[in-house]
Amino acid sequence: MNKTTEQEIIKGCQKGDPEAQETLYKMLAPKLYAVCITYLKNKEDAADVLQEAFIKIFTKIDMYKKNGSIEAWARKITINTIIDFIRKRKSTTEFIEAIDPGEVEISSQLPGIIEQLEAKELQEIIQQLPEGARVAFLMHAVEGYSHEEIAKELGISIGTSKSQVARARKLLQKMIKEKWNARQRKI
Amino acid sequence: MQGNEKFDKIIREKLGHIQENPPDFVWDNISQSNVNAHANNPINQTDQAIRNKLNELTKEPPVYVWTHVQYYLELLTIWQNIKRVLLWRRVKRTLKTLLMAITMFLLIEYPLNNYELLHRKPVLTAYVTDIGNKSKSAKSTYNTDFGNDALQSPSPSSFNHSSVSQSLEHSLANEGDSYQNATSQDYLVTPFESSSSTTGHLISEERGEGSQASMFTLPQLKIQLEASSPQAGLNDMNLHPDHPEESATIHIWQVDIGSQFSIMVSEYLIQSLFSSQFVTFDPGFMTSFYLGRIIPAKSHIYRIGVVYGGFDSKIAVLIDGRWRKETVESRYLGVSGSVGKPLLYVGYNRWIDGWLNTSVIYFLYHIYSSEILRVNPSSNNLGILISGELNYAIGLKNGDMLLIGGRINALPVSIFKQKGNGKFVNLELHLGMRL
Repeated sequence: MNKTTEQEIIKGCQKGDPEAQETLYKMLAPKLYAVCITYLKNKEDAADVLQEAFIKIFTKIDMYKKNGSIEAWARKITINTIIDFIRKRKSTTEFIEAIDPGEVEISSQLPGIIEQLEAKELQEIIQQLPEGARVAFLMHAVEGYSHEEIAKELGISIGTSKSQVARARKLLQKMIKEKWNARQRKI
Repeated sequence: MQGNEKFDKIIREKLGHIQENPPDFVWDNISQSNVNAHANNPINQTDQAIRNKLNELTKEPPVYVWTHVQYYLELLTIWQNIKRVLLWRRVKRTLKTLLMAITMFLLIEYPLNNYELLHRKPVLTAYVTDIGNKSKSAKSTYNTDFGNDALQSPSPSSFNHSSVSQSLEHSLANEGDSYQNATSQDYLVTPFESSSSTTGHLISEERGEGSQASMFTLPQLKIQLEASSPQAGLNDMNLHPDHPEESATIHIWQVDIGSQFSIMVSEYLIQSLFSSQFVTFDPGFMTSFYLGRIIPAKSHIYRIGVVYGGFDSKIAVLIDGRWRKETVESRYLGVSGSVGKPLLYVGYNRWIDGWLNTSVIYFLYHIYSSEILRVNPSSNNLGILISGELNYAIGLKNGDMLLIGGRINALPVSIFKQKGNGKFVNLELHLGMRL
């Protein structure tokens, strides 16, 4: 979509135009829904969060500044909504004070292997991570949150954040390698 | 210090002051090596790879998500419209208050012609004409006593011109005394120029005196009754209990700053009392109608009617509204309150010396909840104050009277008081005015 059309859509949404809102929804919803599913695994939760995120997007769209893309802005809102959701049900989320797994050694082959995987396969692997580790890892590795920020957002200690991310890396590496080996054996 | 050491120290000191910027390439090399080290870090490479892969992901959400979003947005729009209306109402209320202030100013500065001073001494100006065969007329203005006999027509059997004259003269001579003894100060009887009225005949005939009525024509009297309490027109429309049949026009200019800070300048016109029916019409700023019926009884007047105001509606049954010397009492039974909060109430209102208005609600019954909210306000120290009102009239230099009153609306306040949170929610400030 070219820039002019996008800006027109945004202007329409700012005026409360239902058509513009629907266009923006159709434009962003698939990507944002994928983000929600990656974080939350459960499709119903993901749909609920997506719905809430879009309500925020449409009601706060006046605050959108045009110096960034609308997609990045909407993604940020969605991530915040996911974090809110997780924080609300924190009691059921695993944020165990994990034992520091120590220095995680990542194989230099791993990035290459990930490149070879399908995005869907990688998503499935990530979804298999325990929720606490998954959320902390995604926030840190994908969204770029620092451990301090993660600790603050999720109401956990910095140590817990670090150990959860390290735990996630370790598990991910193991699962990705297993997946890769299984694929190799098939070939 | 040895010679070598001394030499070294000097060299160190000298060289320590020398500073020189390194060439740019030194930092560039360091920086690039950092970038490379970062890029070559397997952890960072892995994260980047994961980011790239996840960014490729898309999934169509369930259809209901958009439906729900749409539904919410529509509700939000409706709510925003409601808020806009509420805001507009607030603006309107402010405008009304301003309008009221302007009206009050105008009323003070330019009193309306037909709004006579209530505290003015009662005056009867009567033209008596065509008495018997003798074409004589008498014109007199005198204060009168409007006690139980106030509006009775002269008895034709005892009527003669000299007695009328004497009576008028006597009244004129004793003007001061008459006023002192006045029992109904607010009756103002003004002359009616036309002699074609049948009012006098009717009165006479009703009293079995029609045969002698031809002897004279009782001057038609247009009686203006003015309420003592401008802020409570219905309660204070006092007709003489012994003479409800008199044709009358009632003008009540009502300036009301109620709980809604409304302004109401009303003129109630009693069109016909002969049929015991009257219709009031309010040409004021607010829509306010009273449609009711007077039921005269031997010593009481009952008014049953429905009042519809801008914000409130009221079904009122007023029992008695006696007008006594310098004291007005009225008892009332009514259904009132805001929409959704109908309350049955029984109250008592008393004016003392035309200066102090007190009002007490001594029974409050919430119709919806079937809860008796108050039976006796005296059981509550604040009862009278909460359910009542106090007004004070101030005489202005120009002879006008400004009625300033504080009123705490009995109905909503009573509810909150009874619930025990002690909050006075609906405080009303009434500014009535008597000109």
